[in-house]
Amino acid sequence: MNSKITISQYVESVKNGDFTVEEFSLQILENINKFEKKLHSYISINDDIIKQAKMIDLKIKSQEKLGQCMGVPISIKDNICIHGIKTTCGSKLLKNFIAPYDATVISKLKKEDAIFVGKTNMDEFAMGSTTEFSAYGLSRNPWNVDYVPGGSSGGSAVSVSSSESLCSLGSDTGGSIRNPASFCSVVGLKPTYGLISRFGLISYANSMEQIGPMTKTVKDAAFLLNIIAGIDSKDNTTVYNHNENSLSNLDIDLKNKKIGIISEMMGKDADKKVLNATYEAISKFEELGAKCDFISFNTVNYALAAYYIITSAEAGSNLARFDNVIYGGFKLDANGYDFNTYISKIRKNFGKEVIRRMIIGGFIPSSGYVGRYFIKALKIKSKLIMELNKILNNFDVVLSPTVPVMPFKFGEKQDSLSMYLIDLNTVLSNLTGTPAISIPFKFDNGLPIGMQLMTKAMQEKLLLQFAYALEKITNINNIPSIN
Amino acid sequence: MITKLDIDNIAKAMRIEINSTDQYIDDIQTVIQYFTMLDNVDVNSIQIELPETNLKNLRNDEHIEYDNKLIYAFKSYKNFIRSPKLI
Repeated sequence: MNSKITISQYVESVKNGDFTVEEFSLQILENINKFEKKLHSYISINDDIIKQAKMIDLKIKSQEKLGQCMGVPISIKDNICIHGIKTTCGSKLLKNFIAPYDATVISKLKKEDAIFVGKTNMDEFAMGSTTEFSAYGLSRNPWNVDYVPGGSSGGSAVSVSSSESLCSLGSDTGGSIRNPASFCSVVGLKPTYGLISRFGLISYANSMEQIGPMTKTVKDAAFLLNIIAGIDSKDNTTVYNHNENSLSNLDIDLKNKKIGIISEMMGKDADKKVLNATYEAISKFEELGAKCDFISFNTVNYALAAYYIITSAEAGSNLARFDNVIYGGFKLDANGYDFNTYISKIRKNFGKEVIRRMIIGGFIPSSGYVGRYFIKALKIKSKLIMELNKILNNFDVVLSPTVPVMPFKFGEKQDSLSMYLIDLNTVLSNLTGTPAISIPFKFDNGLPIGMQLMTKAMQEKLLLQFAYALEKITNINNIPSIN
Repeated sequence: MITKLDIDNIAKAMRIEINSTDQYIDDIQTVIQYFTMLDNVDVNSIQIELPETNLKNLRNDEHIEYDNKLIYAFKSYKNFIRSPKLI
């Protein structure tokens, strides 16, 4: 049995009786046993996988009605709540937090008979681009364990890439799905803001973040999107998506379709290898009959600053709830402390990056700076939405490298700013609420390079069609030899 | 520019005890310096657009019975949630 198969192949095989759900789950557990010490994809593993797999096998045997996942082993980023399961958000502050309810995406997956393999490693509170900022130790890139896997959904990407799960759910606030997808050579989709319920996702920056699928193929991403998308009364920001089937009609003719390439996203600071790969991707699309044109979009130069201003301010507010009164779990008696000292002592346990962003988030909206930074950032956000919409009236999709640099070694980027600059190309879709996808494109010296496609809000179908066309023509079938 | 004193004051306001401001100052100053690029962009004519939610779409403001088990989970004291003293 091949544990590196796609979701559709898995479902087909289980239906045909080629293998049982239990057999496949055992194979996934074997991969975890083999690779987990090196890769550290998971913060916690579900002890009941085999029990749940057996139950689904029983259902199949007795010809009971079964959900469309048929026991697909899926890993879940550790900031998404599963009832009764520890949900740490990569932080010491939540080391003992057992989620008291299911996130909406989890309820939907349970209804379709998915099996949750475990909770994946992540940068603390999703603040980071390398998974180095997890309180539970870093994850490693399966293509070269000396290199970062990207982040913040690094554990999710590693688990899919190394077949420690068949697919995963991550969350994306400024590239946290697409960046690790690119670094680990998997598909990562950041859907339109509001397409997927955030109920049960631990908040970092509410106005930007979305849950999304991380998978081996574009088809698999469409499969998961179909299950998790839709309006939810528990999240007022969700929007109606007309129950569109993302999986149907993926294979389209790209002849005369228009692709825009934003020059500012191919800047002078980008790695030459990444730029060359992007030119190759442009040629591939042209071979398929699409018309590619470079365009200038000057406001993009301000996107990263606007993004970090808005998200830091939102994080400062969102993380106020971690005070050990409800969320915390530290054994520190309240007697003898006043309220603020007690909470400050507990919050000393935040990691360095979280503290940095909290301080920035406290500074930005402070008196004298709110107009200079925060209000201006919100205006830039509005300007970006307006101008990107105009661009997307002339182009079907926008193409760029997902990350302007190659995967790098641990500890290579020491200062915060150089780390933040990695997000240069990904933050635009979060600021504008538009969907974006990262697709594995090629390898250079054994390390993956991903391409990003972006389009108008609620046009996931179109995005997936373009991604599918690129995936077909590149036909990457590399498998990491983890050692 | 943000100073050491600013960081100390903000950390206090954000209720985070930090051992040494020195480990944060350079990084935070560099990031804030990066943000000053916004001084060069003219957005005076731009209106901030925020998503609107119709009041009809909000959840009803209704009383939901509290589960006693939750109180026990949150360090209960004679059926109250116990927090550090405020004054």
